[in-house]
Amino acid sequence: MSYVDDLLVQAQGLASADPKRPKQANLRRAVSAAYYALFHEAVEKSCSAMLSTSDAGGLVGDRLRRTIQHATALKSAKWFAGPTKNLPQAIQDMRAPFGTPQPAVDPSLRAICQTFAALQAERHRADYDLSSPFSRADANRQIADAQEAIKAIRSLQAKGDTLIFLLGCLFGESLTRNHSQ
Amino acid sequence: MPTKDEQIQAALDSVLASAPKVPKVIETRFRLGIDDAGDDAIFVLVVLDEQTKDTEWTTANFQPIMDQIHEAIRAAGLTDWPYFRFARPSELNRVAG
Repeated sequence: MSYVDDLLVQAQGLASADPKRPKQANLRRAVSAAYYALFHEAVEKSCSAMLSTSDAGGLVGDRLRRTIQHATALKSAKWFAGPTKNLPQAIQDMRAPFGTPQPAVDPSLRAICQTFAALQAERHRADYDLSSPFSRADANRQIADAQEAIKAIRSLQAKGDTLIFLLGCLFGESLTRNHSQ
Repeated sequence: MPTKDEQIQAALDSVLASAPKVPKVIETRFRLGIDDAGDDAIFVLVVLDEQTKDTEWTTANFQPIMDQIHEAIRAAGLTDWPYFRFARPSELNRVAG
């Protein structure tokens, strides 16, 4: 099994531990693991979209993986989780020639990006906000969402909006800078 | 001219009035903040009926509520990204175990 799949199994195990009264420590680690599963799947997809198979599995891939930041990945996810009219102009211009209507975002990619943004916030809550408890049902919901999003990422080809999303994970807002038309 | 807080509260109130019957929303709260991308964000707490079953605790069931709130916020002219937490009343202040 891949590291991502192992994280999901870990999340499920933690969320189902303590049948009578779940421990917050386990539920929180479960949510965190679910987020990291999704994050690392996006990282892997980004690297494999940019690099040859041999480079992605080698030293260059190792370095590229370490460059991806949670903030840049969130920024990129939010581009495609919301309405296309809110996309930065540089991103709009990568999708369609200036002045032409913006195509709709693939619903599957939109769902992935919505899940990514939501799950990252939940990961923060899980790891840092001890005043805000998790229920087992909520942990299970986050895990199910991560599983669904990972399955969806694996099914998408790295082209069009998916490619822009993956580039955004790597480069974040710098993808939109120095843009002129 | 309503304040930003008033605009958000009005958006949340409008959704509360038209939210789906299942799961039943009994209250919404929010706080403003900054997300990990450094953008303005609205952290929304949606309190659901205590009787909401675990089997109903799915994003598919919550998505219409989230979509309505997101749309109401956008309709108010705000671009802050909403993040959602769902909880039953009994889960709001439970001591960490």
